[in-house]
Amino acid sequence: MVKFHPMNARSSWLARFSVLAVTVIASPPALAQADFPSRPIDIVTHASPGGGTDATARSMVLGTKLALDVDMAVVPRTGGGGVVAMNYVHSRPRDGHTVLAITPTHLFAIARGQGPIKIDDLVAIARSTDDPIVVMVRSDSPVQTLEDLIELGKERPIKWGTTQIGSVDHVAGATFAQRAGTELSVVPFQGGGEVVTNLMGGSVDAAGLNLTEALDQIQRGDFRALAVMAEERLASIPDVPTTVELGYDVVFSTVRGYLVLKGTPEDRIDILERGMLEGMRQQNFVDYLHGAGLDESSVAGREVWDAQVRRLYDNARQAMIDLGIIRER
Amino acid sequence: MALPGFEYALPVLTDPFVIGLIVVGTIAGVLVGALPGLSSSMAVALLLPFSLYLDPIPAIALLSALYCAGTFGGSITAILINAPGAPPAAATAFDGYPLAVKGEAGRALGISAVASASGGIFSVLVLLFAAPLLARMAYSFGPPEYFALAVFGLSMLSSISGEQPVKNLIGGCFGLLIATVGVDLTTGIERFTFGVPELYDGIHFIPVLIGLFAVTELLSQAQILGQEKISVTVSAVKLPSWADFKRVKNSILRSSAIGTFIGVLPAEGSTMAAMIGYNEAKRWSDKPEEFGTGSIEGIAGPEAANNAATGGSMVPTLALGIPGSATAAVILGGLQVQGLRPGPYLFEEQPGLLYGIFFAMLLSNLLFLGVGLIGAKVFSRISLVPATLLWPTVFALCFVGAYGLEQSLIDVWVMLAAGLIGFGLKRYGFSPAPIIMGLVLGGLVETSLAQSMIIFDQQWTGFLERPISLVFFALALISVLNAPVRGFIRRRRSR
Amino acid sequence: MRHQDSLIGVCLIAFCAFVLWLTTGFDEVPAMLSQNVPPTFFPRLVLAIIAALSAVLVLKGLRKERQRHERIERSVFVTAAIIAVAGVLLSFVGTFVTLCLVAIVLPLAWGERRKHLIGALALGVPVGVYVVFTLALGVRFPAGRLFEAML
Repeated sequence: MVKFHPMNARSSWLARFSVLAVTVIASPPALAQADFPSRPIDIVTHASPGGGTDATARSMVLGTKLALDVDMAVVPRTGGGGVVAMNYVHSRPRDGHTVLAITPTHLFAIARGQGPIKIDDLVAIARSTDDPIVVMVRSDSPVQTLEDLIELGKERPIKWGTTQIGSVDHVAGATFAQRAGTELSVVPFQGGGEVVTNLMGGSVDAAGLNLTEALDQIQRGDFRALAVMAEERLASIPDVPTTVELGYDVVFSTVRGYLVLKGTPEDRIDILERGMLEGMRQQNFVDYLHGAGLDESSVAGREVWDAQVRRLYDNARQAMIDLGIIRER
Repeated sequence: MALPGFEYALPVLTDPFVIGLIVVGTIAGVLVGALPGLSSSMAVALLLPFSLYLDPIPAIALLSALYCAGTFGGSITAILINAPGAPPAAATAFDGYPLAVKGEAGRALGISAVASASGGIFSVLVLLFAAPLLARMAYSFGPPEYFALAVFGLSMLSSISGEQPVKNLIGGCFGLLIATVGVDLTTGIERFTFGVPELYDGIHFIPVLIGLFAVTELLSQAQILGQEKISVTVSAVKLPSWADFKRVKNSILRSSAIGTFIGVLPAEGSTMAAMIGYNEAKRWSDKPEEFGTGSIEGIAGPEAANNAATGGSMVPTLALGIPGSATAAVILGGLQVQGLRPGPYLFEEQPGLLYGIFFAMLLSNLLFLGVGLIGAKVFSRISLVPATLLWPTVFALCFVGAYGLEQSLIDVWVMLAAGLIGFGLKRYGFSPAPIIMGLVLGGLVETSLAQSMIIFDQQWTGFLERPISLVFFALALISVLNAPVRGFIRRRRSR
Repeated sequence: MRHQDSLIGVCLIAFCAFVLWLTTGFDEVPAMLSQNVPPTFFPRLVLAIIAALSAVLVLKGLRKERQRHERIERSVFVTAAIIAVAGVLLSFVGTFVTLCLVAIVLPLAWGERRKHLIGALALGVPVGVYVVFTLALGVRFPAGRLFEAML
């Protein structure tokens, strides 16, 4: 039986042909309002079109621009692990019309002292995804539990697949190894997809991947999830223990959310927060989260997100000091 | 057809609205693909949010059609103005532009359209019948295998163009050197970035491509401004003859298979497929000396390969959920946005979807064949526009093409510098082809070697235990020895 | 004077030496990754190959006769200069003004004298780019420092 999409019910001929029209020419800007937002809002990302950050931002924009009744654009400023994007946002007026999309990558860059922005310059608006790191092995591996993996690493270094050096999953893996007193031999790849292929193909022993990158393989039984690097278990894999439960205080997650710089008027931050939260309650964004293997709890408002950004920053900074990537100043 | 699910897909696919979407996607794809710097992945990414308002099958049909047609579109500007619309079309410019300069733009465009469509259709059929089987192949390609594949690619450097193997090799190494700019993947160390954050991720390929081809050509045109042009008006719009198609038949078949295979490998894309397709067409040709001066086999080879790679790259994307190329990654995102999770279970749960994609790609290939052949007559007139008006327009396109990719001024400057350097190189007998080849393969060669060494605990002997690697190393050796050995035999015989 | 290839080879060897010196300035690899292939390995390998091939070029060139190249026309230098100036102008006056100026200056420099055609180009190029790229595809172009300062 073919499962048709829930959106099917909504589509009428008229609506469908209007889509045909918008696919040719992008939607015209909504009429500007007198107060805020008075002109199009830019969401500045550090990712090329098509990546997870880009897709998340574009999905968020769809609902939010209706909620705020203003045109919004996703503006890619790639390079430098977010530094180019932060440079750009730093150069714009702090009037709420330029919003920075951040990921842990940006926080690592800030912790390294790269770019003009300091952690205290950031003011959170809302979070759109929270995607924790899951430690996993191939299911035919003799390693059954996290303890087994740690033991293996004491015999010989574990071949551990990660994305780029200094990325959140690399720092997460290295921090875990250090706390557990085990040894890793880190094999970096260009992206999560490559890590999945190589874990599958047997080039690496284990990997710390985002849940969304490997949920399919876990549910299908190709990969065995050993632990979630979070404080609470995940609804989609409820049997997998957390690192905190197992006695390792190693909490890392790929979060994506939106920020502005300090000095942006408070009332405008409020308007943005309300607009984004409403935008991310729309069906399209919920579908997007489900498609990626997440749920509505990914979305959070200013208070939760602001606290998390600061906690992640402190974790990242401490981890990088411990690992010798940066020196304490 | 006996495969299950066809009956579910049929009502959706015969819907005039869906057909309309595929037509729009194809035409938009050809146009966007033809604009330098605007690749099919960008076009697909830009359409992604709008596809949300559609049901899954129409949405993915639209995106796939855009992908197929966009890959073909790149060849149009490569042939007409030596500015490849997208990286996979770089190899098409090697022979396509010289042929257009000879006044046979229509012939070049016609060959490109037919080769592209054939390669595309070949790969779609493979996708339909062998996707799950082929997808497993992706798992047997780890870093050691990719390293061997890249070495095989590099073995073509000396033969890819011109008569000066030493200069080709220097050019190739220069490309490899440019590819080392940026953060080293396995150690995280910055190299040759001079503190410019835009360079952390390396020098972008497209600005270099546009610079080396189009801007260099702009300067070359300036050189011959005063010279009398040969009048070529009559034959410019003429399409290829049957004899032409017969001659490129084998190149198309060979490249279709090569392109599909390389497309299936997740880390590789249609650019490398096109390069290998070009070189193999040259190697097997009866007239290898014509390559670089406007050989139709030199157009068919890369074009069949890069379009076959589009179908190939959908194999791991759909069957494993691992993107086979940059554009496939965006389409994967499109599926996720629709609430679908690609993987082995997708076809079981959504049998109609496979047919949706299959049908859209097939129809798109046929459509752009039509658009390409009819368009060839129209587009080829561009080569008749006076140089004094055409090239300033081309320059403007290069400008926005280099900038539009990542919206970075650094890219524009890279393009301008590549153009100036390219003019000097061309003057002293260095052709752009090996440089592009080195640039395409550079990152792969270096990172796959470094990754392999970690996996092998820094022991070189690890490669000896990987049979697929050994096969590619052997092919590389044959490829390098091919020309000298043949020459040796010829000399012996002639005595 | 021998064949130019000798001179080119010497220049390339000098270039390699310079880049080799640049590689000595790379940061140190963090201790935990120090067993990996060092970041200098591959660039230095490539430089060594280029230098060796350049040496071959020098030797071959010494045995060849000097090749006659046609003189580089003045129009090439003018075009190169226009390109370079356009690159600098871009960050000051923005994309559209730059494109408009290029569409006027380049045809003039190349000997085009039909005013109506140049006018059409000067107007058509920026407008076409704006419609296709900015309106239809949502690419924003830099306005340039001059105009940003005015805003």
